[in-house]
Amino acid sequence: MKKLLLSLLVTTAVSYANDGYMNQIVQTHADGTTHMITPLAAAGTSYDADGVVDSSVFRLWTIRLSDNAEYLLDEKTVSSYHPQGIVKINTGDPYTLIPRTRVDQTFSIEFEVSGIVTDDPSVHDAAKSVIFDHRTTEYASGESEALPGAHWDTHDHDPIISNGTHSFNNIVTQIQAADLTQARGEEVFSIYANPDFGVGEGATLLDHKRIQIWPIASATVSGIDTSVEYTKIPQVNVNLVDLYPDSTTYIRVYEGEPSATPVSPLNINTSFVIVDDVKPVNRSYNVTSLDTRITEDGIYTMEVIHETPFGADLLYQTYPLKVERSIKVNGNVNSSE
Amino acid sequence: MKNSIFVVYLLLCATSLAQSVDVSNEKKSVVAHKPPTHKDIAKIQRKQALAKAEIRKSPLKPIVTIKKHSLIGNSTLLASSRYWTLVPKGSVIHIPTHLKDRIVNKPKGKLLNWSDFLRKNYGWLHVQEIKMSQAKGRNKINQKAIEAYQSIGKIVVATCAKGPISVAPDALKPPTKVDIKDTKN
Repeated sequence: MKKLLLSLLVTTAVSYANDGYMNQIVQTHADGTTHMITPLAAAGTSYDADGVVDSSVFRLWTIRLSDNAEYLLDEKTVSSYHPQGIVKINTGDPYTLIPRTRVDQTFSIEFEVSGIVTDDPSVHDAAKSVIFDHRTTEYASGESEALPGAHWDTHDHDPIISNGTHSFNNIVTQIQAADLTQARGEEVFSIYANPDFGVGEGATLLDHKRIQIWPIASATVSGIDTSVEYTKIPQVNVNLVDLYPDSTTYIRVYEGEPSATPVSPLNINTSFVIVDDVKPVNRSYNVTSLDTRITEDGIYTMEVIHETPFGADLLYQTYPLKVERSIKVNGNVNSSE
Repeated sequence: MKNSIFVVYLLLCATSLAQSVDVSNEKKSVVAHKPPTHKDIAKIQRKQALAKAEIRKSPLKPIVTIKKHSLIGNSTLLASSRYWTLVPKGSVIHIPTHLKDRIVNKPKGKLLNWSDFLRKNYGWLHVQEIKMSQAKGRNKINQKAIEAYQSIGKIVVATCAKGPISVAPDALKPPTKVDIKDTKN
């Protein structure tokens, strides 16, 4: 018999701990007995009332109240006699609740396996391996979760026959899309025990982790005509699409031609958009202060910069922005005498 | 879901004293790169797929069948006029005829967790707290309690440590009467 700490599952619920969702942990015993653990706090620790005899699968579900869509957030199998597996995902984004990255960025998967029988040829085949499974799904346009019934592609489903730490480093998403820069979705990496390893029916999930993949942001700026010499710089409209969930975006202007390392760039304060969210966001707004911020005549480059945990992206660039405020007088001066 | 925190700084600067470009706002130049294109990302994906194909000599064949689970699909749904909740299939151990319509096939109204739903519907719900050994059918539920369900006129839900739990059919059956004469023979 094994007492079980439920804290792992419960803390996962924190990300969904608001009025729009209801969380539920369900314990399914090896004999099929199903128990709903209630009440469920947003975070905390509790012990299984009766201990785990043989094995149990604990599933953390959440239901979105607006449309009753259900999501399986986490699943853990507790057993005293089958192998153990732990999956870890590392990305360039330090956000921890759900690992995430951008479609063009690499990430690493590490999985630790123990309990595979490697030194006894007579043991049942099921005991000699576990299964590594990797699936991906593309989110529907504008969505930040897989919709019920979404299509999943299987990219890996291979046996692992040795204990220890295994890893895949510097991999990119396997999500497929007509325009990969706009792809959004998730990848799930799982370790399963073989079906006849003694735990219930079907394969038993030992651990899984998911990573969310977000698109690359884009920007357009309208209102500047590069053929015009401005005596007063007009208002510009900035349209930002799919800003990364942890990002800062702004307009910068500098004198001269486009340069990778401009000298004395001016960051336009009123153009800053700081995002701290769980999904990409869109923003559209007007900037009216260019004329008061650029006070000297000259020829400028204007850019939209998008800073994320992965570095800075140049989303938009226009040149030349010509500013000429001095009055030119063309004509002759004649004496009236 | 976490709300977005979106800040647009509206800092209007007095520029009348500024000379040329606003030097007060100068900072170290950020080096920005053009983001990759679809073609760039597809190229990396192809390279990765080729490397994987070399490692995996045999074609991909699923070894185990991974079952899709559903919380709502594996539950019994209870509904009042405004709310609904879900309990494990097999945990509703008595349904009076006049309350059959409280068991529904589809969610109806607003979802409540079991505790809140019970608090609002004590009038037609009764809880039978049982032990895990009874849920698993190793021990019987007291027959007098089962007979009493007929007279209380409420839907009876089995719980263990206050959480609804499925009950093995054996736990509800009357104990088998042992004929002493037969056993002696």
